[in-house]
Amino acid sequence: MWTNPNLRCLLALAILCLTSLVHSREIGSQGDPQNLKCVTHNLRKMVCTWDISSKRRHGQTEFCYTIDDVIPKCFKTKEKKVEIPVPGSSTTVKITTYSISGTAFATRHFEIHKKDISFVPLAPRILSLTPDFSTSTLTLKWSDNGSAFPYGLDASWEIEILRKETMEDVTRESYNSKLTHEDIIHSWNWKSDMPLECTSHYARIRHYINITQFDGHKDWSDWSPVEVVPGKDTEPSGSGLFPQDTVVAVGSNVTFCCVHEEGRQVQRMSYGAKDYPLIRLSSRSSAIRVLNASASDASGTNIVCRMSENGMDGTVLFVGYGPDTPEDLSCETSNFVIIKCTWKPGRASGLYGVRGTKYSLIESISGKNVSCEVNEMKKERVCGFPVLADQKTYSFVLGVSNPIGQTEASLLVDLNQRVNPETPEKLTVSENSSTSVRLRWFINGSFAEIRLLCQIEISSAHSEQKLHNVSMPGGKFSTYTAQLNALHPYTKYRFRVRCSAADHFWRWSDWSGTEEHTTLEAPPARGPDIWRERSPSGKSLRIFWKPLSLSEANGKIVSHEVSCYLLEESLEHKEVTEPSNSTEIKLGRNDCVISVVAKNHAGSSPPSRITSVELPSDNVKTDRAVAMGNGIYISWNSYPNMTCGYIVKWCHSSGSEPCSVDWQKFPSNTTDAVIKSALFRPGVRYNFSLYGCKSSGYQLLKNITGYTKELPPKRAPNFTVEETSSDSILVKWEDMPIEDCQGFLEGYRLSFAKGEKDSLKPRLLESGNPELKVKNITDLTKKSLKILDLQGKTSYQLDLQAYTAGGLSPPNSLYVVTKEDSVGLIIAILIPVAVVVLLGVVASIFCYRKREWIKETFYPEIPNPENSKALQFQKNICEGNKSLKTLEMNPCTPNSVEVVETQSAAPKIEDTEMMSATTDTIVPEDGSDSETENHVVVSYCPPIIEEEISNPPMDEPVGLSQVVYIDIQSMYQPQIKPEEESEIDIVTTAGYKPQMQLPVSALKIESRSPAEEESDKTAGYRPQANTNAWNMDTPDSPGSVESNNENASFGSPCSINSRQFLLPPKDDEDSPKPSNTGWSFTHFFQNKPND
Amino acid sequence: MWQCHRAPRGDGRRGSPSRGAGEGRGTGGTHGAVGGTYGLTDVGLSPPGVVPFVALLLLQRRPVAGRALLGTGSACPTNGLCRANVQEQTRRQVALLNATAQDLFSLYLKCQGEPFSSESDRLCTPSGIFFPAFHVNRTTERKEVMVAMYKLFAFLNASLGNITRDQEELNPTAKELLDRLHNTTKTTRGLISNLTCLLCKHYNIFQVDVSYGESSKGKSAFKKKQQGCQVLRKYVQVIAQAARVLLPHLSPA
Repeated sequence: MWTNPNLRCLLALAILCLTSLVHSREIGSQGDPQNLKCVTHNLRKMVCTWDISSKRRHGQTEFCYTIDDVIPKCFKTKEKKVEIPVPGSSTTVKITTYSISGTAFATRHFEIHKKDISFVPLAPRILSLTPDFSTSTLTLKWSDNGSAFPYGLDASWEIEILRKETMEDVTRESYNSKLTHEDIIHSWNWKSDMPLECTSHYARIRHYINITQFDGHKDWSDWSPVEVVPGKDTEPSGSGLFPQDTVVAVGSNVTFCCVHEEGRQVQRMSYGAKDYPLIRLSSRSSAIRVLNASASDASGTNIVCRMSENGMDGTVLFVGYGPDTPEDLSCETSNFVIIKCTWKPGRASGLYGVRGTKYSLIESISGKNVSCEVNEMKKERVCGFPVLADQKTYSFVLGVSNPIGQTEASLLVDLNQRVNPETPEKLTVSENSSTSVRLRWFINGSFAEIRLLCQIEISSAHSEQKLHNVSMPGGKFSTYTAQLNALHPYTKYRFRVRCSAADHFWRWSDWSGTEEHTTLEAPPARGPDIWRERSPSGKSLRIFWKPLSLSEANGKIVSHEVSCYLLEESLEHKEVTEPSNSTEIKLGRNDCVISVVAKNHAGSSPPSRITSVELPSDNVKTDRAVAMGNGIYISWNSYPNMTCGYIVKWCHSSGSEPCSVDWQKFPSNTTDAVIKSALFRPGVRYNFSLYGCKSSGYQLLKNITGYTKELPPKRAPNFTVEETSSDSILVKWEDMPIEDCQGFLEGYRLSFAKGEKDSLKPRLLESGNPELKVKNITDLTKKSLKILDLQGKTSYQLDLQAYTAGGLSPPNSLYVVTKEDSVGLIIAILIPVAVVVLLGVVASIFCYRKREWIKETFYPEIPNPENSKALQFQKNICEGNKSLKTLEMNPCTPNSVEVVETQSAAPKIEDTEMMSATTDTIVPEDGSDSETENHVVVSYCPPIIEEEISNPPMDEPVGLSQVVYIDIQSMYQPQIKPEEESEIDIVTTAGYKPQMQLPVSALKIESRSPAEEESDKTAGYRPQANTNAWNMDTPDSPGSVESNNENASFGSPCSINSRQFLLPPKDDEDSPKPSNTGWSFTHFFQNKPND
Repeated sequence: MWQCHRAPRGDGRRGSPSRGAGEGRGTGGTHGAVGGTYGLTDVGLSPPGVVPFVALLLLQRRPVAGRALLGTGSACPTNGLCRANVQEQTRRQVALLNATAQDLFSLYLKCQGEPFSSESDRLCTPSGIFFPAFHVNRTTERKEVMVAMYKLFAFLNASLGNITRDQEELNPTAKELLDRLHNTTKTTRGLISNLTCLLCKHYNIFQVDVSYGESSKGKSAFKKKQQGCQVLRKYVQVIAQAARVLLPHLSPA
C-alpha cells in the first residue's frame, strides 16, 4: 500500500497539518492562545505561559491538560500562566479563551513534549557575605537547594564581585559543586587586592545545573540579589588609612586607601619616602597601588596620607619573607625527660615581634604538640618536647609559620639512639689504696633503660694523659661509680668524666669538672744507689747514696738507715734524715759491708749493700776523656776478673763547697760509656775514676780526666821580661791554674811588633800589623822565650796568649823598649859631619878659584846688564824674539812700539813695523784712548826729528813725553792710575832734564807707582836714552803682568849715550830714590824698592 | 651619626622597662634608682620603698589622673629621708636628661623610618596628645617648681615605659635606641625618687596629683610610632625648660 507515491504524498500532507495543529499555530483567528512555553525550575513542576493574539478584552481562560491519557484536568484562570506537573514524555493541552461575558472565543490544542520544556534553576539566594577586614577577604555563603534536585547533579556557580558605588566589575569566578539531594550551604572566599574598608564591595551569584537526563533546553539561573559590604567611606564618621599593620611578602602588590571625612581632599600619599599617584575610589576615598614591595625595616614601611587642613593619617606595612624551611633539624635527649630539638632557621623573614616566625613541634605518633619559644636573635633555635612514657620512636614535625606563610620539617628518631647525657657533676674521688681510687659522679637524668659508657680522663704531671672507659647500666638520676687501679703511689692525679650511651653512641656529654687527688704512699720500690769512699787517713768511710726517683720513692723519703756489718754483726747503725745524702762511719782500718735502706711514711726499701774493701791498684794511669754531646765519653779495657761490673766515679765541685761525689754503675760487659750529668758545665775539668768490682771489693783501674766542652782559657799566663838587649828580649811566663785553662792547654802564642804604650794604635792582635810576628810555643814545659832580631832603642808590644782546643785566651800585653846601639849612633853622627866638612872645603876651593867670575857675575863694580844673571833671566825669556831684548844696547831707531795689553799677546815691537812719527802722531784729537786701550801704538821719532817736533803744546796729549823710572830691582810696577796722567804732564820741572825729548806720541801710561811719581817730581838724573827701547812688554815681565803698564821699564834707567847707569847722589834725598847701589843675593830676591 | 638597626646578636634583650601608666603598672621605680650607664647612683630614700603611682593607675585609653603617694604611709618618713647630695644629684639628673634628650629624639626618628625624619614637624606635633602643664619659670616659688617637676617626670616615666615597650616590639634590633630609652627611663625613675625625697623633706608633701597620657597599647603601629614621636618631641622642649628652671632652685645656697 505504501508503495503508491500518491498515497505517500497525501500522508505527508496530513502529518504536516497535524504538526501545525500541535504547535498551536493559530492562523488568522482572533482570541486564539498561542506561544505556549513551559519552563521547569525543579524538574517536577513546570510553568507554562502563553499569549493571546487578539487585543480584545477577554475573560477567563480554561486550561485543560492530559497526562498519560488519564482524565484531563481543567481549570480556569485569568492569568496566562499555569503550573502543571512535568510530564513523563508529553502532555496534551487544550486552552479555551472566553470573553468577558463568558462566550468562548477560541480553543487551541497543544501537545507538549518533554524536549520542549526548558530547565532554568531558580536564582540562588546568598545567605551571607562576610568581610574580614584584616585580610581583605570576603566570605560568601549560599545554599545549593539540592533537595529540589535528584542526587548527584553537577552544579556550576558563577560569582560576581563588584566594587565602588558604580558597581564596577572586579571579578567573576566559577565554583562547582555536586548536588546531593540535600540543601548544602556553600562557602567561597575571595581575597581582595584592595582593603575592604576602602570602598563598598558587592557580590551576586547564579548557577547552572547540568542534568543530563533532561532533554529540553537548560540555562543559567538568574543572578541572585546583590549583597554588599559597605566601605568605610559610606560610614558618616569613617576615616583612616587602610590596611592597618599588614604583613605581605616581598614582591607583593599592595593597595592603600585613605578614607577621610566629607569635605576634605587627599593631597598626596607616600609609601616610605616616595609619593604615589592617587586613585580616586569615591568622594571620600583615594588609593595608591604599590607594586613589587621590597623588604621593609624591622619597624615596617610607613604609608602616610596627607589631607587638606593639615590632616594626616598613616599606617605601616611590614614586608618580609615567608618562613624558610628549617635546616639540620635534630632531636636528642640528655636526660630522658625532655627531648631537645634544634634547627637552623634558614633565611631570616625580616619580621619581628608578633609578626615573627612561630614554631611548633608536633609529634605525630602521639598527636601531641608544643609551641616553641625561640629567640629570634639567635641563629640556632631550640625547642623542647617532653619524653612520653613507653614511647621510644618519635615522629616530629616542626611547623613554622608567620603571617606570610608556613612550612615544616620532619624527623623520625629512636630516642635510645639520640642520647647525649647531661654533664656529669659532683665528681668525687675516694682512695682505696696507694694504687687505686674510686670515682663517683652524678648525672641528672633517667637512663634506666640504657647502658652508659663513661670515659675517665686520668692525667698527672709525670705521666701521659690516659683515658679509661667504663660501661655501666644507667640509672634514674643516679650516682655512678668507677674504680681505677694501677695508679702510682703518692702521685697527684687529675680526673674528669664524660658519658654517652653505650649501645648506640651518639655524642659525648661535656666533661665534668676536674677533680684532683693524690694517691697514698707505699714503701720505696728499691734501695738507693750507694757508693763509699775511704778518707785519706783510711780511718773513716763516707757512704753516699743517690735520691730515689719519684716513681721509686713511692712517697716522701724521710730518712736513710745506714748499717755496717761484719760477718752478720752490726758494727755501726745510723739513721740519716733527709735531705742529707751521705754519712761517715768510723771504721778504723777495718772493712765491712754497708747497708743503706730508704724509708718513707709507708715503710722501708729493700737494703742496698756495698763493701768497704778497696783492692790495691798498681800503675794507675790517667787518660783524657773525649767530650761527646753534652757528656763525656770514656772507655776502658775489658777486665775479665771484674765480675760485678764497673763504677765510674767523679766529683762535682761548686765553688768553695767540697765536691759532691757522683757515680754511675755499669755491667761487667761494658767497656765504654758516655757520662752525662745535669751538673756538668763546659770548661770545667772533671776527674773520673774507674773502679772494677770484684766479689772481694773494688779496685781502682784508671783515672780519666776530661771536659764536656773545652773553652778558651780564661786568661793568659802572667809573663815578665827577664832581659833586654838592643836586638833581643827574653820573656818568661808562669804556669796557669787548671781552672783558668778551661780545657787541655795546647800551647802559647807570643805575638810582638813595634808599638808604643798609650799609643792610639789598635791592639796588636787586631791591627793586622804587617810587622806582627808570632811565636807559637807548643812545648808546654817551656816557660821562657828569647825574641831575637829586634831593633835597638825601639818600643815593642808583646802579647802572650794561651790556647786550648776551645780557642785562644785573652792576651796579656807588655811594652818593652830595646836598648840603644852605641856604635851605630856614633857612625850616624860622624858621617854627616864629615860630609858637611868635605862639602865646605870643596865649596871654598871652588869659590876661591872662581872668585873673579863670581865677582863679575854677581857683584861687578859697574854691573853689566849683559852679564847680569838677573837680567839674563829676562833676556832668556825674550830669546824667542830678538826685537824684545830688554836692555840690548845696539843702536836702535825704532819708529814705533806696539804695546799690547795682554800678557799673552806676543811682543809686537818690530823695527820693520815701526811707523814714522808723523804717522804715529795721528791719534784722535780728543785724546780718547779707548781705541788704544788694549793695543797702543807708541810712536818714536829719531832724535833730531824728535827735537824738532818736541815741545808740543802741553795740552796736546799727543805731545806728551814721559820717561818712567823704575827701580832696577823692582820686578813689577805698581799700577798707575789714569787720573794721575795730568801730574805726569808736569813732571819735569826742575833739575836735570833729558836732552832728548822723545815724542812719544800716544803713549799711554796706565799705571805708575808712587815711587815713580815721586821720582818724576824730583829733579834728579834722567836717562837720556830713549825709554822706548826698554820694551818691557814681555809676557813674563812683572811690570807688564801686574801693572799692565805697557811702557813700564825694567832694570836700571841708563844713559843711552854713555851706556852707564847714572846713579843719583846718595845724600840727595829728594832725588829719586836709588834703585839700588849694587847687586846682592839678598837684593836679587827682594821686591820692594826700598829694600 | 647613629645606626638604628644592627645585626641580630645572641645576647638578646636585657631587663624590662618600667611599664607605662596606661598599662596599669605605673613606673614602679624604687628610691634607689640608678642612673643607668651614666653612673648616677641615687638613693633618695634610704629604705626600699615604692613610689606608689601604681595604686592609682588604671588601664584606660584616655589620660589618667591620680594622686601619687610619695611615701608608704600617710606622712613623710621622719628619718633617713634624703642623703646629703640629693639636690646636686637631682640637678645633675635633669642636666643629663637635657643633654641626652635631643639625641634620643633624633635616634627615635631615624628608627621609625621615613617620613618621620623628614616630616617630624608635621607628624610629631604634640598638639593631639596630653602633656602635663609646665608653667614655671625662674621666679616661681620653689615648692611649685618641685611639684611641677614631679608631675612632669611622673608622666615622662610612664610615657617612656610605653615607648620602650612599643619599640621593643617594633624595633627589636635597634639596640642603641632601646639602650637609650632604658637609660632615660632609669634616670627619670631616679629623678622621681629624688624629687619625692625633696618634696617630703622640705615641704612635707607626700601626695601629688599626677596625670598620665594615653596608653599606646592596642593602637596601630603607626599610631605608636607617632605617639612616641610626639611625646619625645615635647620632652625635648620641656626638659630644656626644666633644666633652666631647676638649676637656680637646686644650686647650693
